[in-house]
Amino acid sequence: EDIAVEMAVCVSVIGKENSPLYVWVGSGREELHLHYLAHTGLDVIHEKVATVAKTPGDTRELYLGLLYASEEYKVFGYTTNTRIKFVIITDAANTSLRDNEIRMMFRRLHNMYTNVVCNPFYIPGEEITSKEFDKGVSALVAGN
Amino acid sequence: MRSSVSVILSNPPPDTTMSYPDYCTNPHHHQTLLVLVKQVGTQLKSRSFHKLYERISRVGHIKVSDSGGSQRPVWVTYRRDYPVENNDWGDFQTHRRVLGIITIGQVGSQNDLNDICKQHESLKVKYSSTLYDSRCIILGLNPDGTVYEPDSRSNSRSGTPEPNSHIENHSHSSHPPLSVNGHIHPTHVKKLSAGSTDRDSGVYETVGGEDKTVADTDSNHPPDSPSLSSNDVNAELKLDPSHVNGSDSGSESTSELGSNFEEGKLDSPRDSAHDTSQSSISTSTSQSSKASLQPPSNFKTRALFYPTGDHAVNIESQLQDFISSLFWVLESKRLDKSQEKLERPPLLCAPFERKDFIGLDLDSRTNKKRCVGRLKKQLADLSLQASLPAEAIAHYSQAADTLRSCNDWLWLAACFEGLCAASVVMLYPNLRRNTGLQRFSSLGVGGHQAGVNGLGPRRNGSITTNSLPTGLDPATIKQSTKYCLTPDDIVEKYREAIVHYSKYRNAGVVETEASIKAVHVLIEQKKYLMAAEFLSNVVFINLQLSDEEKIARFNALAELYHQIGFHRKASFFRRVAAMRCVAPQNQQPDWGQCYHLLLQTLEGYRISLDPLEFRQDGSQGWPSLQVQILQELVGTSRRMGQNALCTRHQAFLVSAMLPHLNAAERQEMATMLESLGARSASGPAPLVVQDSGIIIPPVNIINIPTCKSVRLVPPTVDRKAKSSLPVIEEDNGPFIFSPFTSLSSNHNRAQGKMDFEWVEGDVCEVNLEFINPMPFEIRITNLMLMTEGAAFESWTSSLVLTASPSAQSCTLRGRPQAPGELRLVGYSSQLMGVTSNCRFKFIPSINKIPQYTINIIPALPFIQILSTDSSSGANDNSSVKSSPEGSVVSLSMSGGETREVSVVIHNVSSQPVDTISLNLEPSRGMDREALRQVFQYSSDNLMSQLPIPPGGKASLTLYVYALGDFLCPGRIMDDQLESSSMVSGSEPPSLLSGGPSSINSRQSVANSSIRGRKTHRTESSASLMSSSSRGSARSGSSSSTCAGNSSIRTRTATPLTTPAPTAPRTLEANLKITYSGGAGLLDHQCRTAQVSLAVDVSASVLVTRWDVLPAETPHQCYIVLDLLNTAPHEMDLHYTPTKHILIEAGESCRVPVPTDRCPLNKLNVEGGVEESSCSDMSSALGAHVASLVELRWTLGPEDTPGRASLTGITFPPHTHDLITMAPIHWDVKLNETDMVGGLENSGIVGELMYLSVGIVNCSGRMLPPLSLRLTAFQDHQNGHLNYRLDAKMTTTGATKLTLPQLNEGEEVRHECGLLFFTAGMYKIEITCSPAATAAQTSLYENIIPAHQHAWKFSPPLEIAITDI
Repeated sequence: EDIAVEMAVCVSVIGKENSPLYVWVGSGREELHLHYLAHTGLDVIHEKVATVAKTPGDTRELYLGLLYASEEYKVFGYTTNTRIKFVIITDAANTSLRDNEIRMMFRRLHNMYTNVVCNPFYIPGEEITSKEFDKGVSALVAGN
Repeated sequence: MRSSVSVILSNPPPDTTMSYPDYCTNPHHHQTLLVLVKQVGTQLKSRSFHKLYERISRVGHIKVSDSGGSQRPVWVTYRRDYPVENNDWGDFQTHRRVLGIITIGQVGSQNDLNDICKQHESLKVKYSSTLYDSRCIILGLNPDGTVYEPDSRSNSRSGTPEPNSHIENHSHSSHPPLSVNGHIHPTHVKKLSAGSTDRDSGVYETVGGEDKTVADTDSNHPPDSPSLSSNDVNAELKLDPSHVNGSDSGSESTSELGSNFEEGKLDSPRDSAHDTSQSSISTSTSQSSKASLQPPSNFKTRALFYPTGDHAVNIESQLQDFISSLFWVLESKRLDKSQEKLERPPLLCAPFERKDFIGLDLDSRTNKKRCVGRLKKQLADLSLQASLPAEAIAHYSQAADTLRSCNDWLWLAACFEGLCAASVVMLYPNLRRNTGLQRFSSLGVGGHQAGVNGLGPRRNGSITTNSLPTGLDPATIKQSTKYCLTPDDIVEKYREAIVHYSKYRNAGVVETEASIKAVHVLIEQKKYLMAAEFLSNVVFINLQLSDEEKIARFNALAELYHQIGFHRKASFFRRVAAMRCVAPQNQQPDWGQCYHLLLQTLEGYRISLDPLEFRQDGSQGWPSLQVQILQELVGTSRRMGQNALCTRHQAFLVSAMLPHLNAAERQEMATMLESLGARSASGPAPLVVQDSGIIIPPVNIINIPTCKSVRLVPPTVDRKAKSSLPVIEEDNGPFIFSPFTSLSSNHNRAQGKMDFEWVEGDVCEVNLEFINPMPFEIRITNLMLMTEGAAFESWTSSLVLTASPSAQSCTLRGRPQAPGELRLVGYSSQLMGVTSNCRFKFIPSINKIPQYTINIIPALPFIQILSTDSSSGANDNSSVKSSPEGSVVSLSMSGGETREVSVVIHNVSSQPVDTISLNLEPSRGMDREALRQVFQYSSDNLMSQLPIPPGGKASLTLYVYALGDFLCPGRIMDDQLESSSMVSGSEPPSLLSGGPSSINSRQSVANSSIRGRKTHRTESSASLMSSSSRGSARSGSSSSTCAGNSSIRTRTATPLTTPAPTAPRTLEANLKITYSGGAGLLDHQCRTAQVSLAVDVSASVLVTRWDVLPAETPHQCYIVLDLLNTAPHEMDLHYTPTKHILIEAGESCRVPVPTDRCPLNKLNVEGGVEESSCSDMSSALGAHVASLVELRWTLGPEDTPGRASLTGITFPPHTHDLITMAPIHWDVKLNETDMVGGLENSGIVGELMYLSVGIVNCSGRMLPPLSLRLTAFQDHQNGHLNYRLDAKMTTTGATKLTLPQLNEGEEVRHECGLLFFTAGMYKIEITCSPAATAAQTSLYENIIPAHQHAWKFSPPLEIAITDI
């Protein structure tokens, strides 16, 4: 029931080289399974970015939408202009989530990531160990 | 896409469902004829089957000229396995029909043949509903039906008999019977050709029987085949033995003439049928006498006999013929269907549909429409197979229209799929390419699954353009064919078809295959995202599949994902498939397959099993998943029993994933590695996975421990070799500063070139610093250096690194075995059962210098220095310490002691010492002069012992003299000098015993005043008595009189007179032994051993004071020494060869040492007149004394001998005259008797005595005029001298006269007479002084003024006068 109220079951920040910088997995979830989902989502992100990039000029939409869905989960993607990827996995049963809410979650996540990068002691590409970021993600998935 | 109505519309699946999908299906399959190739019998080796199958598969495409004269390409799909259930769907999609069967078997006996024939016939029955024709290839039989003996193969290969028969055949027929002729009874063929209107009717002939059964069983098939016309000859189809024989011989001829075929003498196979009669003629001649095998009577198939697969040279032509026969059947059926107009068209059904129609009104208008539509659709299928895609498209379109109107979704979907297939065939002809290849790949699950070995086109592969033929773009195709779909339409139609299929549960396989076909098209169109959508739909299709099939399915999905570039997804499914292989519910887990599948997932997880490659892009990938996969690899390989692989993977896991493991995981994984390594060690060689040829690269654990620094240790000083050639200074010209050259020279050094050398045969060391990244103690064994270049013997060592973040160092040793350049490239180690070769260039922390280069010079001998103190065996106060800096010989000696130290040169190397040279160098401010005194050796002695063989010894005796400073430092004669100065004078001490003598005193005062002390001089001249300042001295003098000249006084030491003991002094020097030998000598290399010599000199004897006294003889004087025994032992001191004295420790005594006076010619100064030369004089005299006086002693309990010289002693000016010889020589005669040495003379009162005084100049130079004076006096022996002898005696002749100037060696003589009046003791003093001063004679005539020398005849002449 705790799980139900959470907006997402997995939030991950993935670096330029496609290795995870930060992975949060909801309690009680199969951590490794969600890792696999987020990981395979990169394929779709890669393909989406590759196809969109062919039309230069206008600014790219950062939100990539639903990457794919399994029977239990939906996998959403978002990529920054610096090729940092965010993947949020939601419970497929959670029908209350609309596209706009997912979009907002990504936007908040992006802001939080920006704060992390602004920390002069953070070396881009390293794993994120910020407590502030932890708190932010907790608040994000809690929906407040 | 997915519709929920599928469950509702579909009935539970009976066996009408296709058993499993073909995952390598392709739109082009719609165009192909399906041929089943089966292995029959038990004798055939699967390798031969595969070989033949491969050859067969290559004939996938033939061209046939149709009746209209145009070329029609015919495509074939060969399958090794095909379920009958799928075959049942042949009405639904005609490309699913098995049209032909080829069986391959091997026979060795009649039973085998029977078996094969039986199996073939049963296969024919199995697929009888669709089969057009079949062939049976039988290996192991000669063409005549006899069993082929493998021994005869060589004969047949050499081909001696067979070419003959070939020639024979050739002579018989200008048209060689190339193809089918051998298998059919000639008469049979004749009849067929006669009975058939078709040129190819002969092909149909054998299947006539089958067609008959088809006609019986399959009511749907109208008896449309022309082969029915041959029904009348069925009765004659029996093969009698002779016929078979005949046909076999024909077969032989064909097989041989295959070569002709290849040489281009190919005739159309169809012609051959007409020539069979001729070949039958030839067969009659080649009747074999051997027992030939006979197929059973019910075998009604064309059999091809070949001895082996290699003999089947004409199999391709046979196949072409076979395929064309299939085509013609198909074509005829198509023609029939396209032309016929049926009143009541049959209802074609998918297998599962049949019972749905039970009870329906088949005559309804809708149903009739449905029948027509479906029939049309089938016609389209046939048209497509018959290579008429344009026609097919037209038919499909019509059928679709019809079927849509009657809501026949299943068949409408099939229509769309066919439409897409036909369009793809036209738009993307190259798409078929990947199918032909993939078909062979197999993992052994089922006969036909997706090729997992990736032979299909990769997304980034060569196929990057549309497969449309060049010069042809889709637009033109579309124009040419009215209904051809556009690329986008194809996808749309596929999507539609799949939606419709999904409504039927029984159509799951069809839906799956359609999706896969769509994916192939999308890959061709590069619409990968959409392809992914289709693929993800496949996942949702619910199929009842066995475990094997599920694995195949995931594998196929993985392969397709791979093709669209979704490597992660591909790996995900590959892993799912792998896990399926060993799922707990799986009854027969297949770990080997699981392992292979897991290996294929690695790419998607960015894992390269080569650690070097992996580390290079180490920042990529998803560590948690990588760890998981690697752990699964470890577990799987362990379950496979492949311990070596298991250890290898675990080693990789520990090493490569180390940065991502926390402390607990590190501990856990390392423990596991240790236990695995104990079972099977992992070496630095690659491993090959069994059965697959996959190579698992070696894992070198270069990060546990992490090497932080490498330092080559230069040889120690004594081992260091240097060139014995003189160093030639390179002329670098003027110094010009350039930042560029200095940079480049630094660069050279940074490349690891060492600026020192190692010597062959020496133990060399390298220091390494390691960091242990593990949270526990690690134990490394067999740690040794890896080198290249010159031979090097590396020695292993073990190392235990504690759990500490700081670097821990270790030393690796080895021995160069040959001269040359040695490159140090890394080290090898063994950790937890894993042997690693760690090359510096791969270790990130130190790879700036990938290798260290050092020059190895040829072997040189090496010596060790031993030394023994040979002079005093039991003495332990000498020690030898050997250290790399050299041996240290320390001696502890008392001053003046001499010892022999034997320096033993021990050759401890395997090289002889051929040359040696010694060089003694002073150290610590020791001058060379002293060095020569202290250390002496004979190098000639040493040279004579050369060469020193390996293990040999040579010795060098070193004579060490403990040179001490025996003179009391800083103390020369001064004011404090006591009475000895009082007695200084030219008179012997014996004269002093006579009591105070004014003359003596006066003279002494006069002599002492020469020191130039004005005050003293005036004082003494004023008082004439040396009493004022030296009362005590005087008393001392008087006290000494009793002892006489040989008496020795010992005194207790008083603070005043005993100087503070001097600190022990150390004499140091270095003996450098430069030596060479062996190979190194030829290379002009040498080594230097150094012996540090240190002699601690303890004080022994000290001369605290010294003085000079006149001796009894004129050529001698006494050097009086105050000796202090500063040694802790009693000393027996020999101060002359005959005299010795015992001195207690710490006590002092005074000894007189008789010494020859210094001849004047040894002195360069003139008589010591000038004061400026006083110091020179004194040191010259000192040297004289030192050369004559040597103190010797024995000391202590061991009677250690010692000797001391008085080197450095100096004498004050007033003593100079005592030491130097007088410049004149007295020759005094009394009554013609020589007066020498104080003889007592006697005379009588009144008797004249003649005194003759002769003076010889022996000074070496001319003497100025001298005044001679004779003075008589009486010594009262109480200190009083009476000079007033006027009443007691008189003289004749002058008593005072001036002598002329004397040249060197000249003698002057003066004579006078003495007459005594009274008896008594008289003494006569004879004095000689320079004449100039005599003129200034003062008040007392016999007093010589200051500044003047006076020479006296000593001792004074003594005359005892007696009365008669």
